[in-house]
Amino acid sequence: MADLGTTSIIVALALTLYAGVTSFAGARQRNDVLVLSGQRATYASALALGIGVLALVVSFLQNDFSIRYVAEHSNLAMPRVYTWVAFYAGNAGSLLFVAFALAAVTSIAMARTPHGLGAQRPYANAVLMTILTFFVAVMLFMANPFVTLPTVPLDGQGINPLLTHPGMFIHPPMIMTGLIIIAIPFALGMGALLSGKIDDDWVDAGRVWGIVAWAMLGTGLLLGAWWAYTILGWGGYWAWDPVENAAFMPWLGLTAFIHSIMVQKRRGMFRMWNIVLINTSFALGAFGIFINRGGPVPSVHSFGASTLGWVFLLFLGVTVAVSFGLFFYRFARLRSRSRLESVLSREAAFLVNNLLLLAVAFVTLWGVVFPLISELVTGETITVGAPFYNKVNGPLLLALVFLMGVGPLLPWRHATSATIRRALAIPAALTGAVFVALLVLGVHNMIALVSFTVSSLVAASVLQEWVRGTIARRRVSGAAYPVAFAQLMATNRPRYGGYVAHLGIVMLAFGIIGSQFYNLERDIILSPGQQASIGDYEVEFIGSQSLPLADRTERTATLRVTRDGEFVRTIQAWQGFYPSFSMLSTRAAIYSTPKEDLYVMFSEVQPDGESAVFRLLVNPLVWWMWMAGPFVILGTVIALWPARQRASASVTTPVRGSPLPTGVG
Amino acid sequence: MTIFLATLLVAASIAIVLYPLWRHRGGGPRLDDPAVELRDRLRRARDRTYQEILALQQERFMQDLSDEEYRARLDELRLHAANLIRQQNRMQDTLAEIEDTLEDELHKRGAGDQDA
Repeated sequence: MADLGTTSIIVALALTLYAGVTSFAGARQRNDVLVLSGQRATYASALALGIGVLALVVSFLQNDFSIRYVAEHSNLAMPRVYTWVAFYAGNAGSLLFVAFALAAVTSIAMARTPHGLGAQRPYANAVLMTILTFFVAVMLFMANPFVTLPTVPLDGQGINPLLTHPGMFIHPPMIMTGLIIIAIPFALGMGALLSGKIDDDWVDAGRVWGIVAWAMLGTGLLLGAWWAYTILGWGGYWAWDPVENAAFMPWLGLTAFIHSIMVQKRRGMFRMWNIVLINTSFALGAFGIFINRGGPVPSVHSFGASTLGWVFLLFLGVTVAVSFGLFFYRFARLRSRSRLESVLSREAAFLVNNLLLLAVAFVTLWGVVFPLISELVTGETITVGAPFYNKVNGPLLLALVFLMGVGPLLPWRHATSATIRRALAIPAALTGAVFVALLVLGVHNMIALVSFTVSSLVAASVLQEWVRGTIARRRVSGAAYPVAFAQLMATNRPRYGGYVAHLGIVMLAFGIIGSQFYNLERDIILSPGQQASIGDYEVEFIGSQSLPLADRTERTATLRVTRDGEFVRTIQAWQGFYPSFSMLSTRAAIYSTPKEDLYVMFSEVQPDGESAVFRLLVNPLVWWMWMAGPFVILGTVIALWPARQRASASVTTPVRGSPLPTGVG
Repeated sequence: MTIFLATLLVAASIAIVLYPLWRHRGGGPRLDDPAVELRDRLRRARDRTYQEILALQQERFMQDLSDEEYRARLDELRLHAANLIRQQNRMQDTLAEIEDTLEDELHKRGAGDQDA
């Protein structure tokens, strides 16, 4: 299998090189046979890398410890189901995953991109194949997962215990695939610049792939937060860790891109902005790869000691130089057809949206690189923690949420004061009512109060749009309200799908505000039979059990939860010690409700062998954070669902004064 | 088995890559035929205009626009769509004319060869 795997990588390298060169040459020379051959080579590279993936998976399943990567990331005791996780647990395996994902996604993108894009398509393919050539070359020459050991060990080292969690089946592939898919709209933009056809034709395909990348990356980030919440034992979900930030920054860039590109689609504006945004998003993704694999900044996520840092730094430098070089080369031709007519317009709201999102991205970037800069300048490493990010990014993110509530209500081009009053009256009134209700309920922390209120403005705006639209629809069609609502969603899927995703973001905001400002925490030592109280809960420690296994020793603590004297549930907190990794892995006991989570983490057992240290937390509204994920995904699916093709109809030149249509077609 | 699979992979890759070069060795299909490109571009522009008209009707429905603003913008978009369709029709007529002319020429040459 090692030989097959290495052969598949060598073949893939040859194919990607060929595909890149022939696609570029074919586009330059208008030689369509070369372009076709290059496209076929792209498909073949996906096949070759797919065979490499299969070879590695089979090696894991066969416990082929002659392959170093298999020996380092699995053992005989590892359940088969973790083979999927072990595959991308290490640097080399994850590079193979990334390369295969890029090849597969590129093949799909090129097969589905309209032929009518002309030379843009082969140029885009050339860009993607150049990126893929880089990854495959790095893998082959510096991180080959099929390197063999001189002597075959009897057993492997085993999988990192932190990865034996359900979240690890989805979180890393989502993050890696999301980062990779950014390359597609990036390449389409570069294709437009390279071909010189600086029009809006690439916008449709760019938007679709941008949204797919955004949804995957966002879901991956949320899954990572859930993983951290359940397994890392500190009761939190986001620590502004450098590698978390490395995926968060391109997500911010993509958020700006998928909104800004609607302005280009609708008004032919923001052409420069969209090239800058997609270039920045891709560059931030490349920076993320550097952070994750170069290891310049310590993180719980990074692949540890690695010699690949300078290679990925070089890749980042070349990416930025070439993409922005092309941008400036075509600068004059990127001028938009239309101008911003008013600051009170949806276009202006999108412009402010772009600026705020980039501001958050760059504040985060500054926090990530500051330790490196401080070491370089002063010789002393100064780390930047959560307080910096919360203080600076907090208000910016709040402003973004406010914009999410107000922006969709503004009309295109310009708004009159009457339009604004009509659009905002009801949401403002509802938001005011929420503000008063929160005060009555005892929410007196000013930041939490303002944050909840602003978030509820978004929900009120979406609700107004849906209610007004459904009533108007029903008036015309006579259908029942649920049917009218479904018809409304179908008439403008991008808009209403976006609203569903916005509701998901509001739920996320609620969870963050509740858990950040109103959480309770208590550390305590309990003996069996003893109880402790936190919030409305009483937690009684029943006892713990130890279970020695082949590769670990497990310990489970059972606790009985009551609230106001009534029995609620029995919960179990777990920990496992892995001697081969000298690592303790934990799982919190979580009793979750929409109102709050009771969170219990089991820590050290005391010398008496009976009592143990527990961390007890009550985290309000965290449940809503995890519910946000399905809403964001649902909103994305609705937004991307293809519209029915309209039957072609003749359009006659309208006569001024002719009657207006009475309904939506 | 491994050697066989590796050889198969190499052979398949070479075949997939070289097939278009062999198949179209006398000259290939015009993937970026200017006429096809122009037709597709006009169709995409027309679809975008229809989408804009739908979105505009939606905004009118939601009373986000006054009657005047709506009428002015709708007239603009309908004029634009009409122009695009006229361009498409003109292009199709021109292409049809060129095809008819080519056929006549080929027919004449074919008849001339037979006489000779």
